[in-house]
Amino acid sequence: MEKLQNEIRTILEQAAREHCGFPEVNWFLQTMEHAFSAETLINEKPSLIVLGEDIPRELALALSDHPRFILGGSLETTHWSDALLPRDADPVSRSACGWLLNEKFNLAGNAIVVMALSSDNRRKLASLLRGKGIRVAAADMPPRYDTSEARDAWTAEMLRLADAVSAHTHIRLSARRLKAAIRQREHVREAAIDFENIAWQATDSMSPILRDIIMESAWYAPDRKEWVYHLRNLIAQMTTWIRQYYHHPDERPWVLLAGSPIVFPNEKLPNLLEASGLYLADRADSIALQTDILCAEAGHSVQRMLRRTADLRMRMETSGAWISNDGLLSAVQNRLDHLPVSGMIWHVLKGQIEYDFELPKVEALAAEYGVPVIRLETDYQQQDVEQLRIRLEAFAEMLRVRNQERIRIAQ
Amino acid sequence: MKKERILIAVLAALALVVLAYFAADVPFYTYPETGVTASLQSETDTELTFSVAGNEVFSPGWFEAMMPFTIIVGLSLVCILLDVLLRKRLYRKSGIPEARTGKAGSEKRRKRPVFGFEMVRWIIMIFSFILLIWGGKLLGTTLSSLQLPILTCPYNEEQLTGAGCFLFSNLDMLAESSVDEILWSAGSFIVCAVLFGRLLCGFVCPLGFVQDVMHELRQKLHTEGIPLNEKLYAGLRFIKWIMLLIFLGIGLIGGSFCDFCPAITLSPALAGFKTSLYFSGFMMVVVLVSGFFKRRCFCNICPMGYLLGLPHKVSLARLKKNAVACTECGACYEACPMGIKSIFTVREGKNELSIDVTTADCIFCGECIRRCPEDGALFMTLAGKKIYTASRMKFMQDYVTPRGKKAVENE
Amino acid sequence: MNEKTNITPMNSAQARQQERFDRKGTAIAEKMLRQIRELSHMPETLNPFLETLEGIFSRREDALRPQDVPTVGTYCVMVPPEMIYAQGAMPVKLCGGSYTAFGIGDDIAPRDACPLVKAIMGFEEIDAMPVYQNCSLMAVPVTCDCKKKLAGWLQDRRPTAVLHVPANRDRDEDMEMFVGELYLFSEQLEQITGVPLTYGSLADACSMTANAQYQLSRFIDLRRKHPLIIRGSFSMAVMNALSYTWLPDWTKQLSDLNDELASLAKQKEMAVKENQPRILLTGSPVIFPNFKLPLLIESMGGLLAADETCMGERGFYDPPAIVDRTVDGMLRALSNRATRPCTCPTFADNQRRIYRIRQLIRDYRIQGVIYHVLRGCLVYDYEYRQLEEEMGKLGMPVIRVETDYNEEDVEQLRIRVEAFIELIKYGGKQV
Repeated sequence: MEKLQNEIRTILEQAAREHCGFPEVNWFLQTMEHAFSAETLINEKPSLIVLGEDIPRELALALSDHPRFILGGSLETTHWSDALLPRDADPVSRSACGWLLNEKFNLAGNAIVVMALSSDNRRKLASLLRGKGIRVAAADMPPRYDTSEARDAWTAEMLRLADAVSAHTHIRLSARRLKAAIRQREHVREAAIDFENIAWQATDSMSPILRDIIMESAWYAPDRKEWVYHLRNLIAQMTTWIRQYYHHPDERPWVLLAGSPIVFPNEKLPNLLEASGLYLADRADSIALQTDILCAEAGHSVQRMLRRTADLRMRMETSGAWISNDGLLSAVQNRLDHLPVSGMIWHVLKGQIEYDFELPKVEALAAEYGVPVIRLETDYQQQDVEQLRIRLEAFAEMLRVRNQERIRIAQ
Repeated sequence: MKKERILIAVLAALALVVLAYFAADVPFYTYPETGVTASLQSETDTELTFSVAGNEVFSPGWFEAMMPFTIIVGLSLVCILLDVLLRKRLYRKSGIPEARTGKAGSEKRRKRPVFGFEMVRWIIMIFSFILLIWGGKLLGTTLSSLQLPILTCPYNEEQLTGAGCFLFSNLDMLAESSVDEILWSAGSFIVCAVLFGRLLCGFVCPLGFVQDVMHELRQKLHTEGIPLNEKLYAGLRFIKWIMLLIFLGIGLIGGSFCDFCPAITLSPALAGFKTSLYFSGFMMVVVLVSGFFKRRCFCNICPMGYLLGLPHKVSLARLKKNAVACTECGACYEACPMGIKSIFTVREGKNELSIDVTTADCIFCGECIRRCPEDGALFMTLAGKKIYTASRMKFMQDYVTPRGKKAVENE
Repeated sequence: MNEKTNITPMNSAQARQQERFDRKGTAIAEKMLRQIRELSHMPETLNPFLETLEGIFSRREDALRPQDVPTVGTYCVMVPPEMIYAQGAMPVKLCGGSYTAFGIGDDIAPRDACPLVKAIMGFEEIDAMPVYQNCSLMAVPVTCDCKKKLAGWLQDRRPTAVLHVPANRDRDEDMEMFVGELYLFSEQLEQITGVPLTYGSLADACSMTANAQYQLSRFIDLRRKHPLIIRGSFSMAVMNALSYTWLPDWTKQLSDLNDELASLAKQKEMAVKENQPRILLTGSPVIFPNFKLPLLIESMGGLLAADETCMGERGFYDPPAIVDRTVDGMLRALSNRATRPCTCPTFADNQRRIYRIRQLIRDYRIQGVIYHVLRGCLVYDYEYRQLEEEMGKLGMPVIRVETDYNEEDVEQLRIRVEAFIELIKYGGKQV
């Protein structure tokens, strides 16, 4: 427990130093600290736990006022579940398993855990958790996202989840609640996009790690309206700062980090990127890309709203569940179009083989834009930090040289 | 969603009760008043007209008595034909493969009849059909004090045994009857229910025999039926409660179940009694048509059957399962005309090699055991002795071509 | 030998790769077959099965079948062979076991992908396996992650039918969803063969597979009554040959084998002595020519009495229980068979596999369990822990053996298997 708290605290303290004195930032860091503090973990007994990012947030919020999202991410928790999982299980699943099954706190005591069976790890995790007596409602993801049958299947699975959760929490999924949740998510999304845009305008105002932690805090904030309010304040503060001060143009190469998700508190790679002199422009992974997904228009019936959500989500979502992860490709292409990205890091967590299968397509896409791609395979442990640093520094050097070449050629 | 379902349920219940109450006002086929009219010792408002004397089989009087039943059979056939044609049209429009509709082709396989449980059951069913309906004529006497608790019909005065259903549906008569009568009725009900339970449904009831005949007819014609699943079976169970209410209660509020019960169309007519039919005629059409498309559909809603099933925990016939040999293939559930899923899902029990899975719905038709491909996974015991055990080789013999057992010619 | 349909001529590097593939592929297949034949007490009637395997892997011929019958490549047991036979094609199970194809696929597939998928990718690249190349359609049920991505990869290269297998199977709707998938599959088959699905053809196909499964039931029955009657490597060869044999032929061959075994049983001639430990092999599939493990077990003094793998007995064990003799009824039975009794770990709830293994242990008086995990097969690895616990409750020794598609670890495996067999002989569970 101590180690877990230390892990969280270190990252947050480091992040707290990496901005130009915006007071609003503290609120976000405190929110994150509170969400992972010992009292919260021990005392708060959520009735709904969402494992993973691919259950739509609006559905979770409509089913429960304070759902807890478990996305993995902590090295300490991977150690807790070591005995239960095979050697090749990916660290996100290990961490998720550790969060739910340990002797220190019992998050799942009163809860029903909801997850999407989008990969092997998830399927067997559902089996494992059930075997340990945790209530699990699992949604089967259809392997295609483009056919109408697939959309119907997805909608049916979400309704099935809703039934299972309602039976447990005794909160019925009504159209009214779903509408409110969708609206809330829309506000969150708009604020997040504005925030990202501001951050790109002034890359020296805030480190990308802090920027991404603030974005990720949306998953953990107890009240999302408050979150939006504070983010708007922060945006205002940053806008003022941009107008007041002169900004050096950022000479660092901009890179895109895509592939396996980066989850708080595992900021190993972002830290390494900073240290190697690269600016992490954006992350194109399944967690970060949830912000991209449009919200469905409100309708009158739950079924119709969910169907519309399916139509919007499924083609944009990047998930290991699809046979070809086109959502990820189009998201990457989008970023390559709009951001001055010089290089791409394809991040593969050990055991998340679906991203390895996508690599050839991503490389081909990046080649069209003249963007080099480097594949980094890692997990949550710190042992390979030095090797990664060497590789990233070499990559950064290569990008710098290329950029200078380009400037010289342009001149 | 829930609200709609409750509304539909309430409406359906009301509709059934109203139909049952006013059943006598819906004439299906009435005979003109003949000389002697008598009603059974019921103090109800309605009186049925019928002729006291039973006609000899194949006499002109018999044909007159068979008229309503013939009309019923004719109407049923028309309904079935309409349904098949309608389905063909609907499927053609929606693009479902042609093969799914109606009758198509035949198979090269000719099955050799084998003497087993199934054969014994058919023989007993035919015998009981003959004995119950024409028993009085054949044997000269009737055992009218013995009240068999199945839907045989008291209007067939030459029936071999009495009919327990009459007392249940006219509970107000209890007060009028003599102690002797009450004791005989109660006694025969208790003895039959406790000793045999729903074995009577599976082996003796003539209405059950008729439904099994309809099912075999559909199998021979290879016409598509309506496969049920959990949700639809739940709907049927709901109707069963309504039927039970009607069965026990309608006599107390001034109606008569006999005007509603389909069995009245079968037994008296075949024995040559001219019985006027009211709503029961339409009910019989429903029974025949639904029994064609879904095996033993009426047995799922039969109130008498439900009452027989009540003491299933102490009945002599038991259905048991070896949970280790069971592969959870679900064949027993698919084969079960009563839609009992627990035989397939139950795994825990005191002795897992012999778990008692008898339920209140089971009519002991033995289909589950017949379709079980694992040796000894399911077995039926009567008074502790195994009378039918699942066997893989017997299962295979139901499906192989007769010569397949020896060598196989190239097909 | 094999005519390539491509017009572009191979360059010399490709030609060398092809030649190497041919040479090594034949060598490995021949070696495995020789090792199988060298085991004692090989029944005469096993030869036709070994010849099938030889034809496919050593001589690299196409599957033998009547003229003008196209082949449909299937991956996973959830694709019902009955439907494919009914619509005028022949199913061939193409899960790859070839070391040489694996070597080629290793360069294309991600490093951690399972060797089965790498072998299939190798087949596609090398263009030298007619049984693979000549398939008119590939039917891939989406089960594990690697198969999922394989489906996408194949879709870009040849006509592929993708079947969505429900991960949850506790509700009736899940099984009924798969019936819908089978209808869609039937349409795709019709496009390939031109033969629509009719009651008569489907009923006849079901009778054909019922005959085959009847012989398999006899085979299993004989082995249950006399667990020592035949070596497991031979049984595995029989089941592996099923993937490439025209079904009535296979039925006839198995019927002859059953007759021979029945007469051996009558004369009480067993394949091994009573004191040789009876071992159950479970886990990732054992696909010819990757017969490393069965051959090791039997050459180190054990008997592979039973297996719980999908290219072994489980590949054809469950019969469809047809309760309704209509097209819809039969497809329902096929869907039922593909989803409910299936012990594939890609289903979210796979408790039934534990019961299945316990029943096998009772039937064959098993004394030890070897849990086979292919490197990269995550789903079987996940289930190991629970199985280990359950075997502990029974006092049954169990070891986890992880292996890959190459011959480098044969010696290490030999040591481990030998030690395991010694453990059972001199200290393990006495049954």
